[in-house]
Amino acid sequence: MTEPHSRLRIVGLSKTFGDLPVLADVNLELRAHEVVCLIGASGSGKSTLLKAVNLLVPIDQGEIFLDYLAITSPEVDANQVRSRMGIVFQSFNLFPHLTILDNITLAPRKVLKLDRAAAEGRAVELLGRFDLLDKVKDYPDRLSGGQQQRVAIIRSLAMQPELMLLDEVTSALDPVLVGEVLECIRELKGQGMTMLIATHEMGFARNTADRVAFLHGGTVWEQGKPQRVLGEPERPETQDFLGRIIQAGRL
Amino acid sequence: MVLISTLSTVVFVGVAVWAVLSSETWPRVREQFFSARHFQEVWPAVLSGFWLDVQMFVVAEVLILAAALIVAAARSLRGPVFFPIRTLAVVYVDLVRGIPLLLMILVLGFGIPALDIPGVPRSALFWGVTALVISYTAYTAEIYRAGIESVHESQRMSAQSLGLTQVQSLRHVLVPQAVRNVVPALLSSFVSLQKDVALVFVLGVREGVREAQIYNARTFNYTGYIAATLLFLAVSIPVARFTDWYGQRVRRRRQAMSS
Repeated sequence: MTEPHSRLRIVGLSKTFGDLPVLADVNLELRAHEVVCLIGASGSGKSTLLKAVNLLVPIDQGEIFLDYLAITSPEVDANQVRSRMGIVFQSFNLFPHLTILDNITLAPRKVLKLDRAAAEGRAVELLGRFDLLDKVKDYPDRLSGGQQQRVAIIRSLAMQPELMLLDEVTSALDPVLVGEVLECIRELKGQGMTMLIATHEMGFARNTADRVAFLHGGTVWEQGKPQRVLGEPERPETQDFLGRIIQAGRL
Repeated sequence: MVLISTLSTVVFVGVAVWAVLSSETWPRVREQFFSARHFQEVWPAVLSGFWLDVQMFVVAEVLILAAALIVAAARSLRGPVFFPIRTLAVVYVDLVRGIPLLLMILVLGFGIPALDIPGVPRSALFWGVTALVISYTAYTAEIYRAGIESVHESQRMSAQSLGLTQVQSLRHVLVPQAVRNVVPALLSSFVSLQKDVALVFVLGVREGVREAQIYNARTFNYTGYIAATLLFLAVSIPVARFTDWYGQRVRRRRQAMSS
């Protein structure tokens, strides 16, 4: 059997804001079709790590490879790299002045240069698959938070990304709306999407992730199978973090 | 409530009118400024001059809206590559906002035609409008810029994360939202330009105020100025009311959205 294809490889990644270290020597690899959940306290660097991978924040040290291409090297076109991966944020960030359809077709038309009919066909197909076809002509403010977040995911999918980055996509949602978004992510996993997911939903991490990585002090403190990291954590910091999660009733 | 405000208005206006009409100089003032005969005589010239004001306003405003948007967009580009463009935009805005409009009109309107460069227009009207465009573009660019900055940073990040370039992000995501936010401020600058076009009269351009001035020089009667004033008011008051109405509508809608 051949070694599985390495989709994303992060090597020795460091980042400081001023003199505050946010990421310190992060090493992490995702194989194709693998789903990795990043867990850790707020401020542990999960969000910055995802943005660094999407080249939305400049890094100080280290390298990031997407399909063996060093995307952190200066001669790489950042816009081109970004168009190959999708990122979805906590706060949806749909474009409020565009309809759902235009939200989804904007980037395929302008970046991938698809014609309108092809872009709309792709959008309608995705909306249908995620049960949002009736919202196609609506503006984002007419949708619930859960629906908006699903549209944000579809907007990224319409670019046919090789990798999806999800940054606490359910944290801003009403508890009753969390389920539909998580269901949507599970469906993506079923289709073989490679995903790096920052989340506080430990139950979701346990039953969906192939691997869980615990971030602490800006570095990967411990990683492995979800049952192992969440069930029998080896390091005291991980145990402490999970202990506090259990106390808060989230596990 | 309505009764009290009506009553107080009537009393207030009544006292003011009585004070003016009963003053000793009123008959002379009336003849000098409000003469029906002179009004009839000067009206056609002032009206046709005012029509030129309106044309200058429309042409200048269209150019200003387009040029200012380009300056504002240039100023909001990020990254070291765009440093020269950004700097150019900042220098332009700072420089132009520091020059009084009247001075700009005088310098361009008298200065450039006097240079007599082949191929360069010599018309005072052309350079007067150009001065207005240059000056107002700087202020209007600042309005647009405030609008672009008022769009949440996450919108820019979202657009870029989808692979859109900075220019595409501005064009399709940031500017459409920015313009919506600043329509009331833009309308209010319309009102101001609509009056300032009259300043090109200093170049001898025969617009409304200039016609009134010519009549005054001939007859020593000021009624032409009143005629011009009425014409400017007839345009600017509706625009000002519309601006208020529109601004309130935008505010109400935003409140409805955020609740």
